[in-house]
Amino acid sequence: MENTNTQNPEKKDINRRSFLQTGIRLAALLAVGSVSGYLLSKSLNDDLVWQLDPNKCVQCGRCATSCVLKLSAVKCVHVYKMCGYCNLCGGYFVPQPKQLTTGAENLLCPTKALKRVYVEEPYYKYEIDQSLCNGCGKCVKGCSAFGNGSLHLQVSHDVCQNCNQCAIAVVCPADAFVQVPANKAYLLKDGWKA
Amino acid sequence: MNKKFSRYLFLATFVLILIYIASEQLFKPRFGASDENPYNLNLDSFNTIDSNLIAYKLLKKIKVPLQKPKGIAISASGYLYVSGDSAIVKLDFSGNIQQKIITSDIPYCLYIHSDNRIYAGIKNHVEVYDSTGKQLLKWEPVNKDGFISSISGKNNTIFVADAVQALVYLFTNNGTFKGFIGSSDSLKGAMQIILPSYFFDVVAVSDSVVTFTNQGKHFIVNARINNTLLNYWGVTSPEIYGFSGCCNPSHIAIAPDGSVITSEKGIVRVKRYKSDGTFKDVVAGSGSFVPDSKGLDLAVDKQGNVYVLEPYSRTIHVFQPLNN
Repeated sequence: MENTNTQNPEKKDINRRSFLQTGIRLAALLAVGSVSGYLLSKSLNDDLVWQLDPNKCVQCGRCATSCVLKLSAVKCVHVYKMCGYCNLCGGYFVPQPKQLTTGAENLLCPTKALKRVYVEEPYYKYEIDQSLCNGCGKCVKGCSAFGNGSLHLQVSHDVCQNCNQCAIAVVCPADAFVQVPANKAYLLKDGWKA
Repeated sequence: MNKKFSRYLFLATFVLILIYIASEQLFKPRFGASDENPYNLNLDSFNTIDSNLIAYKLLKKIKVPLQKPKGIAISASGYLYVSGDSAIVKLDFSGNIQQKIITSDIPYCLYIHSDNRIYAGIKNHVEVYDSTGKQLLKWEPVNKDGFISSISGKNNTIFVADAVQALVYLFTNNGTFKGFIGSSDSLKGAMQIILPSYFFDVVAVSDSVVTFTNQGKHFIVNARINNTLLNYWGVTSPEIYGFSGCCNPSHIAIAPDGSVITSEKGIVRVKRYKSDGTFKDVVAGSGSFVPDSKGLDLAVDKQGNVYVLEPYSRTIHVFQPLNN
């Protein structure tokens, strides 16, 4: 009687080997894909950092009081091409200064982080000492209300802890805090638009 | 009975808990958002104006058919001209378009001469159109890096404000350059024009006297065409009688009775002064305009109505004196 189940033993070996090889390749591919996907997603998540949109910011002062750091990671920055280099600077002096001098009673900045440097009559340059700035935004509000709006606030990423949930973003009344790609971490004002 | 009551009680308690959680989430302010903040700078008082000082009422608002309007002027016959985009539009008092002139670039300012010629400031030069919209002249720029921010004229003299050079140029009405007014010399006082922003307005008083803003010094300056100072006025203060901030007033207009209408940015307000600089009253306060509005160009008609062009809302606000 002829055996109908007769199989080629050589072919059977090849099939098993081939199956194992394919299986191992697929498993390796899956492992590489998973690791790559994990690293990619981690990398994408890591690429997002917190930043403050200066066009939404209302200078409420909460950046100074709500950051987890003792001295807030939010700092004032200056777009010099928008600045008028004024003698009477609305960001430097209180709204009705007694004199245009560096006396504390005339100054808006509570930490004296905003420095005034004489350029030539009647122009002054205003510089920010970021190690003193607490991000309160008083100068920004004064500059926006009385000047060209060249001062504005930004999260300084050399000090920001990039918390998973930014403590300032939670209390920001203007929803001005957004997550931006780390390679474009700053949202600076772009100067004059006549 | 007790079992049924217990079920109802349980259900009622559950619903109450849900309502409490929902109200906590929906109505309770964000943590810290309503706390007193020692760093809050409150400037509201500067935007509050005593209603007794307001001497005008809003007559109407005219929507401008331009995306980015820049300047406004009024012709002797009462038509409104608005510049912006790459065009000049002529409107009647109802806001209907009577004419549209296409220009080579953005006209930031314009002036309508008594002979109905239209003078438009386009970047660094002036272009002149006749009443049909045909371009008659294109003046050579005095400075290629200049920015023409305002034009005005009387008879055969045209005054052109250059906000980059901080000078007022004098031309004949066919474009011959005759000289300039202003100085970069700090010893020249009010004649040293300081412009922290690009707003620089000029109004011809006569063909030999011009009024212009020295916004960095908070002055309104009257000067002769031989570049000598006639007089100046203006007080630095955020109070209603003064001009505040880096650079105000941004625009001016002269009413038929000689009083000077001013507009300011920062603390947005339009005010009226006597020709000697004495504060008279208020045309409109910041409540009349969108927040942070700026660049409010002005025009005044023969009846003394004040036309305020608000670029942000693309609207002309027409204010009528209350004593009319």
